[in-house]
Amino acid sequence: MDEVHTTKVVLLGRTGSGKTSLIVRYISSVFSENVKPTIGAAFSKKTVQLIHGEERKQVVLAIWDTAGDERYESMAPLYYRNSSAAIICFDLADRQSYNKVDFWVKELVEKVEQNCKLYICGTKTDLLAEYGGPLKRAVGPTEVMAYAKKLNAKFVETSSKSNYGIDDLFKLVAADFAGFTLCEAPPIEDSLRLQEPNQTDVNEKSSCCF
Amino acid sequence: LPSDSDTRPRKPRDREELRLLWRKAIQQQIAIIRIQKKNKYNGHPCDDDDDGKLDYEEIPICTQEMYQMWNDIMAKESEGPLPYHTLVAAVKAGIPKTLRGEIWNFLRRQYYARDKRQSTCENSEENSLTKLLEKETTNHHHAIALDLGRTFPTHKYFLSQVGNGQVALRNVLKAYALLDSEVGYCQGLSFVAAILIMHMDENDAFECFKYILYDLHLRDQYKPDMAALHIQMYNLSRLIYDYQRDVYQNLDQNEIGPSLYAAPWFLTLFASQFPLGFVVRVLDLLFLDGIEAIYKISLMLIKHFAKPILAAGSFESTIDVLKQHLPSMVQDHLDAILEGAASLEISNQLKSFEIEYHVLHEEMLSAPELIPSDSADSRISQLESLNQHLKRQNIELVDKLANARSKINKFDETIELMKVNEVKLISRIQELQEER
Repeated sequence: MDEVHTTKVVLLGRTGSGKTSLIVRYISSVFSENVKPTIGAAFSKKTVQLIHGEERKQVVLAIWDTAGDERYESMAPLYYRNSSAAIICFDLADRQSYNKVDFWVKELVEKVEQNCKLYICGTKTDLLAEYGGPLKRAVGPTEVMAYAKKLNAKFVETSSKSNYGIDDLFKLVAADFAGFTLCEAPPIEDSLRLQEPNQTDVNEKSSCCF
Repeated sequence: LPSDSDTRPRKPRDREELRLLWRKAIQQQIAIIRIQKKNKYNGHPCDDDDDGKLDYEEIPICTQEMYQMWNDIMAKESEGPLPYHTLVAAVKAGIPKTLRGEIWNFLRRQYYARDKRQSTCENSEENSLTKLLEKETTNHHHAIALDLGRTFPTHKYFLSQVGNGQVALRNVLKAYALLDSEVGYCQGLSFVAAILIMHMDENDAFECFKYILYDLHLRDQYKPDMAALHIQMYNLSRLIYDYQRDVYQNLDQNEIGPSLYAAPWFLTLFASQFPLGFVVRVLDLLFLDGIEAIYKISLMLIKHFAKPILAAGSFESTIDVLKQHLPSMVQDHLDAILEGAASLEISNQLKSFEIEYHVLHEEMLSAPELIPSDSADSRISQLESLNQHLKRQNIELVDKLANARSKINKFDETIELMKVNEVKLISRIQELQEER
């Protein structure tokens, strides 16, 4: 029988950075331009199957989506308490949104959650010029990767609109949690390539364990 | 025109970007023209109902009698305030949705008339929607603009970025941010404002918004530290403890406090998750009873859905019931929930819970603070002294508990004695009656 583990994942980030859209895409496979702002926090869960050779594991991700409004920050500890992973989101085309990432990192790393793995998630790639969108990157990937490396965090890019990188992100979270070391999670440099469209070779590589 | 993207370093814009900016500028211009046009006709709203304002399922479906009843009630307004119980009975019976806006305003005036109260927010010309909107823009502009399209994103009236719904919503929120600089704008407020806008023109909606926030004291929960919200969450958990002990114990075991599920109940008056037909009924009660109505409805929800909550088992499933199933099931149980809520009397309990909260809070604060320190030794000694302090506190609390227990035991004994006496006296009375 498969081993089943449950792990708590929290999403943090500035208002409008696309946290709820990310979850809605992952759980319900839909995208809408306007989702309601999250008040307090929302909860959802999904089971991820991990297979490698004979080894099988099931990881239930219990995901807390938090409010982006700064006023709700005093409530945030209630939601990120005991999380084994935090996905900190920012809008790739919005510098202010990126600036908020460091706030959450400090909150988690310095204050309490030392065992919490960090994932920095740049959202809305579909809006970027390099993917055919109308906007420019507000922050270069080298800057984010250097920052992530310093924190021992992982950096991924996603688009909830074009359903890009999202399943991979949560599989990565689940695999890290389950300690699936046989197939190493993509290193930081690779994790960016993973997100590029048509780069199926990388996806195939990771599908060996997912 | 100001643009949100101005904060980014200026680089030459490409065609696509310029096109986007132009489109945005044109839309904003249209919106401004609409606002100006609306302001010109101020006081003479010409809202036609075919723009889908009241697009929700009405429960119960309104009847001719209901119309008649409310028209009769409102006709008596000039004779002075109506008895409170008359209003409660009428609200319980239901409100036709086409009259709802008018009735909410009527209930608001009744609130002031009942105890000859004055609004806590000065009711001057300066504080009217029109005057406030003439002022400068607020620094909440960006946050408000971001939420306009995200508040009831599927409701017909709020669909279009330049439609009447979003324009009115922006006006009400902007004017409020200018009026109340302490609260400004906080996520959650847009839902409350939108519900009001569905039922009345924006001037009346603004008056009702002020009434709810200032006079019914809901503005406290949106203040920067959100201290009032924390108290509210404590109060709710105490109410559940008093009225639904088994549910409380179950939630407590799973470490589920009201903050995990009930924060949006208070901050959006249920509007962010629950069906509109239910939300408007909550507001009917709110206009009468103030924030107590939210506690009562919350408690009745917990009571009514105790079975599925208790049956859920794990933390995840319980949260699922509270956050997902409850809003989807509520419609069919509306009458029972409202009936139960209207018959609850909780104001004294709420007062004592709040005192309790402050006492507990102070006790926590009186513990010596941990000062961040680099040396491991001093950190250890700090933790040791904190531990000592908590142990002392624990002993004191155990002591208090023991005292309270022995008091309860004594009272129990007294009750037993009195019961025995009562039986004796009853039989004595019977004897005497027989003798007579």
